[in-house]
Amino acid sequence: MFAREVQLTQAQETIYNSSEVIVRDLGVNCIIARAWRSTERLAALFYDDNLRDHATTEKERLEQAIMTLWRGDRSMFVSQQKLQRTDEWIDIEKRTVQSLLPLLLETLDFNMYSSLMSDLNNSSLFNTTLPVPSTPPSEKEFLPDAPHDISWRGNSY
Amino acid sequence: MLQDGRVPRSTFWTPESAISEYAQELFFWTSNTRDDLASIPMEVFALESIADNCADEEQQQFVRSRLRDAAAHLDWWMKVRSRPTSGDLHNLVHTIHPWESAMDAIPTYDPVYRVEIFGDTSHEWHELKLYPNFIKTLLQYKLDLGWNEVKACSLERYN
Repeated sequence: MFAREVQLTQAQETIYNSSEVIVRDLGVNCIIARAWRSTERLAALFYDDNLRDHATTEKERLEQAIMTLWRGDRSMFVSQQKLQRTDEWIDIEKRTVQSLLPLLLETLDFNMYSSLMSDLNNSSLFNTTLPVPSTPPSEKEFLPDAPHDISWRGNSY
Repeated sequence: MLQDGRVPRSTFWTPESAISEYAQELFFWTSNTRDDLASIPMEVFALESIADNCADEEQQQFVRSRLRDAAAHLDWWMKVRSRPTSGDLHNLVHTIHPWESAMDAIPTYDPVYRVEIFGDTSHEWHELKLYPNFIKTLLQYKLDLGWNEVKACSLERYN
């Protein structure tokens, strides 16, 4: 009923195979996984069993995939970029507010949860005077008082 | 929401206005009613908030009537923006532009554009290092790749 095999348009294939901007964005993946969880809950509320089951499957599938982005040696989740030349995925290690979004997930283990909560409570990272910053003050990309267009590098989320 | 389940990142309420046409030309969109990027899915969170805070039967019916559309948007991401890797059944979704993250200039995309942006320089300088890259990507999609990515698969409905 919910087929995973999809025939994409030629243009979609071209973009996927040509663009340098193909990113497994940690934040986007976490938001979508969390959205499936809310869908699951609402479908159950309205007795829509087919949708509930579908949402459960997709939520679990995506949460398992997000776990592959955990780097235990650095105690952080990463995003990934696709390199077109070699067809490889390489890690993007940037500590931003996106790094905390796995807290939305159901399947974090204790070590992951502890690390993220430690970052959240660290005054040089996210527990600033006005928490939570988009980019922590400890990061080289941090820009205090960043104007609107680059506010995602500033001190307020 | 478009028929395929995608929700555009921007829609222009007054397509005939000068600003809509200006946006279309400036950012190389294929339409003056919407852009060609995907919105991060927020609909179901709004529906959940209504369901949790409004006991009124009419509002509950509204949530019920819109829930499958919200799920169709999630399905669009899972099907169109998810690719299997070798031996891996658990597929992550991908973005094709920083603006789809809803965190436009977040440092996550600096390595993608091979830029290093930090230090004691003006904000204008930082913007100049970033935004031409963002526009260049849109131009590539328009001129080199045809921008037709939005014509995605037809989604199966829940029955």
